[in-house]
Amino acid sequence: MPSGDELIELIRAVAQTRDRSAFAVLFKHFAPRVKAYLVRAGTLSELAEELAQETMVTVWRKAVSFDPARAQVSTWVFTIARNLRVDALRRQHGVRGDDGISAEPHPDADLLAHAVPDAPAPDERLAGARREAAVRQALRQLAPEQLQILWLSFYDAQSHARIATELNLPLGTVKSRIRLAVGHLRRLLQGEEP
Amino acid sequence: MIAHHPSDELLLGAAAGTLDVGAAIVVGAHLEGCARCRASVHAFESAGGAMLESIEPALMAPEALARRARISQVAGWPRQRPPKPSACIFVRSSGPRLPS
Repeated sequence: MPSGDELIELIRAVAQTRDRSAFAVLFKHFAPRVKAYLVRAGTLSELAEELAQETMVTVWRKAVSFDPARAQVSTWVFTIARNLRVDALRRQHGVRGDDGISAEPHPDADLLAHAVPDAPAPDERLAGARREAAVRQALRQLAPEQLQILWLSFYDAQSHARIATELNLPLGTVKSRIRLAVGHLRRLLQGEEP
Repeated sequence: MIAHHPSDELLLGAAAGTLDVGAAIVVGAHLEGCARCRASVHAFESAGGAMLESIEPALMAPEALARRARISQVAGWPRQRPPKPSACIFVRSSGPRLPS
């Protein structure tokens, strides 16, 4: 498995020289992981396949905009896949209104789709690499079951019920464990945030 | 100006992309003006990157590259077949090489 630094070098090779063999390594590493994430997040296998391909196309196209000071490659790829998943869900269902699911996508769906603003302030950009290291350090200190519940909450937080079924736990227990895991991560990160 | 910060659970939902549209709008509007919560979301995104690294990879379907025609229309995507197709997994007519 390529290291974080190796991944950065591969992205750089794609960005600067359109290096196909570097891209092939990135594809082989990330596409099956992105697909696995999307399937775990409830995306049907065929669409997950397509979105994983689309994620990698985006990596190819936007490699030049990747900024290693801001995030690790895996974090960048995750946010690309996440945004494509959110867009696909919005396209599929339209935007859910108060009365349920509308037939047509909301005219502002593109604007509303992503909760996280794209461009960070300059000071936030510089904090990126430090944050990546702090988060990974904190994650190593989480108990395996807390890590498991944290990962599950990435797959589909709307359906904690499904997590409860998967872990054979009462729903309330799942919710409180997610809060505990997130709170633990937050405490471990304290001092790293403004 | 900001009286209430979204809960960690909501910020995690924003990073994971699992919020419904209403919540995404509210959290997104808050994030525009709150560097502290943006930092939290970015930290959760980093956790998402770590999740991607640790997940058990799925097999890519052999027929997936049937969509190559569409993909090759993407601006800047390499169009021509390389000399050794096996060296380049994304243009093989038989599909991508499965992870070993």
